[in-house]
Amino acid sequence: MQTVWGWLPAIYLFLGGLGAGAFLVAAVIELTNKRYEFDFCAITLVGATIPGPVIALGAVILIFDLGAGLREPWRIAYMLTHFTSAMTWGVWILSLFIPLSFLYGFLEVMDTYPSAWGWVKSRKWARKLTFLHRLPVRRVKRIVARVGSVFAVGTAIYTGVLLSAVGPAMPFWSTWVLPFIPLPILPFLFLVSALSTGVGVTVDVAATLVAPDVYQYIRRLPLIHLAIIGIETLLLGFLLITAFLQGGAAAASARDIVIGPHSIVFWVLIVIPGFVYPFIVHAYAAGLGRHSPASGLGSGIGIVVSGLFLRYLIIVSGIPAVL
Amino acid sequence: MLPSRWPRWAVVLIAFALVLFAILIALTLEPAAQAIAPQLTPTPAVFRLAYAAPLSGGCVDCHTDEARLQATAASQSDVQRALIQADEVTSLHGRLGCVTCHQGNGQTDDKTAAHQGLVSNPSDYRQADEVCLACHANVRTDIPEQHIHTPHERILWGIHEEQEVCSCSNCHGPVAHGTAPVGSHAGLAAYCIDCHEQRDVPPERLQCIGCHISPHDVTLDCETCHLSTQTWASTRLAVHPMELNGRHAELHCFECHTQPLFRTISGFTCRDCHTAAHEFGADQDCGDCHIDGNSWSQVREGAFDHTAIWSSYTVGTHAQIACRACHLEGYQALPSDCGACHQQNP
Repeated sequence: MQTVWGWLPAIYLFLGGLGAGAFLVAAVIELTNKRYEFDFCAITLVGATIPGPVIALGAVILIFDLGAGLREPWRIAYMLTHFTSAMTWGVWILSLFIPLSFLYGFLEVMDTYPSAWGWVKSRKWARKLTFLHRLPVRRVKRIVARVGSVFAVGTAIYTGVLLSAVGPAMPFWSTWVLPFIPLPILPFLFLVSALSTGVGVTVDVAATLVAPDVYQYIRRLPLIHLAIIGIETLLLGFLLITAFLQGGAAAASARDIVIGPHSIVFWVLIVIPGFVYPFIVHAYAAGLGRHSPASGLGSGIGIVVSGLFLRYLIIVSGIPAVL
Repeated sequence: MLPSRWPRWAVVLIAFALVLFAILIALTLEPAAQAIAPQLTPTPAVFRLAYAAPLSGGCVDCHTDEARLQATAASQSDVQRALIQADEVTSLHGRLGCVTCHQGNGQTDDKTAAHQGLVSNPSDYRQADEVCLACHANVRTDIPEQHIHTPHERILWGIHEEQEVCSCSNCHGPVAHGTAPVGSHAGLAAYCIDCHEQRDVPPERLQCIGCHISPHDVTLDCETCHLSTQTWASTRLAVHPMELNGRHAELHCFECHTQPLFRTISGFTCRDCHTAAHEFGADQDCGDCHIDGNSWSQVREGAFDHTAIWSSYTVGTHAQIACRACHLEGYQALPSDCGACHQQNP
């Protein structure tokens, strides 16, 4: 295991992925007009409001983790023009996505609680936002959802690119999709995992809390969630199998995860709560068209917690290659 | 589900709480899980290089500009030594930036200030620990897949103990200055042999096997068969347990032997490689009649006694005509009555 990168990178990759995933779920519900079938849509309210703060918190932790960036923050400006670096892509994506997320959250809150405009107008520091009230909020919100979705996908993928860009130094992180597909698998795995955690927090937790029978209103949700869990399982399987086939440090990392020192974290804290239990719950829900609030909440919490553990485990199980 | 007294927007706070809860749970459960897991072995620390590529702009501006160098250099040879090509800084090591390895100050136009604390050879044993070894601390001594045995272990020991040893660049070249980080044989020969001879190192370190791991299963000096230090493919047949003649001597080793091993061979008899063109004599060795390495049409004088199976062979011109005149379809036994070939006079 490597010991230089630990919880901090895992937490900001998790926050970035969860925020991006929640945004995407909210945007899909918004752009398919499902949002307007309810007087109160917990999925879009949560999916629009948590990405901004969560990703901003992740960005702060990232800067804190940079060390040099914390001591000499002006050096981050150097990262804006180094276009061949994955870091520069990330800085640009995050710099644009964070304000978009805050704007989307603000518009969703104002759409859900129009009376809040009065509160905004009564606050001196917030009055500059009142010009938004003159705009067609829903149209602007749909534009923000469309544009933001592109950046959300970029953010979710970037969390994987960040690790895979370390390249040959950490062979496990740059494992290919399959031995004959020379693309790193982590960006795809983290994108799907981001979607899964996004669905977990917005649908399984938030929507279940407000409307326990949410699955009766959006009948395809269990199937969609099953598909996401299935794809994530496949990608995680490909990561481990390809790493085993690759041999060397990558195989050693995969061995540590599956049968080695990390196996308890992998099986007990990732596979069971994040894959097996949600799969059973959603298969049951897809079959019956409903699931109990407790199983929905349990599934959501399990997916979110395992999403963080997944990123942590991939990070700590990296073994440096012999250069 | 949500308590009726709670406003519905409380789900937003609950979602935030869930995120924090996940982080808290993870930080709590992971140490517990690891406590009951087998002991983890931390790998050597990942490098911590004082990366300063963005602080190297001044170095690049001056050292890629021949006119500026000429204005301050003492001689033209100094200019050529200090001049770097613009594309060198885009190489793998060049992208690390000058200051990262050479130190100094890349943010001033003043030559003296820029060269304050400059390290001219960062791969020298006095510097390599903090420069080259920051990334390459984990180098191997034996690299079997490349059949290389390196003195890395000795060099790393020397660097850590501050004993004078080779610089990394002695073998790997000035990696950030347009040279790929690969050993150049010509450079190695010039540097290593001179230095090793002076230092009285064991003589085997001066031979090929000092660096190369033989992939073969014979204990011969490489130069016995290999003719070039640039390519292994240039070889000669210097040693062979049995004499090879004619065309056999022209074959490449691995047409008969299993690469790269010599003690394993596809077979020792002619029929292991050759398909017999005739059935008779199937239990005989080809060499009983044919001459090793020569054309198959050349047969040993008297190797085959036709008269033993056909008494008329020496009658008339039978023995003078070409074999193929009678053996049209191979060398199987033919009918021995005259009528099989000759037509009776009408």
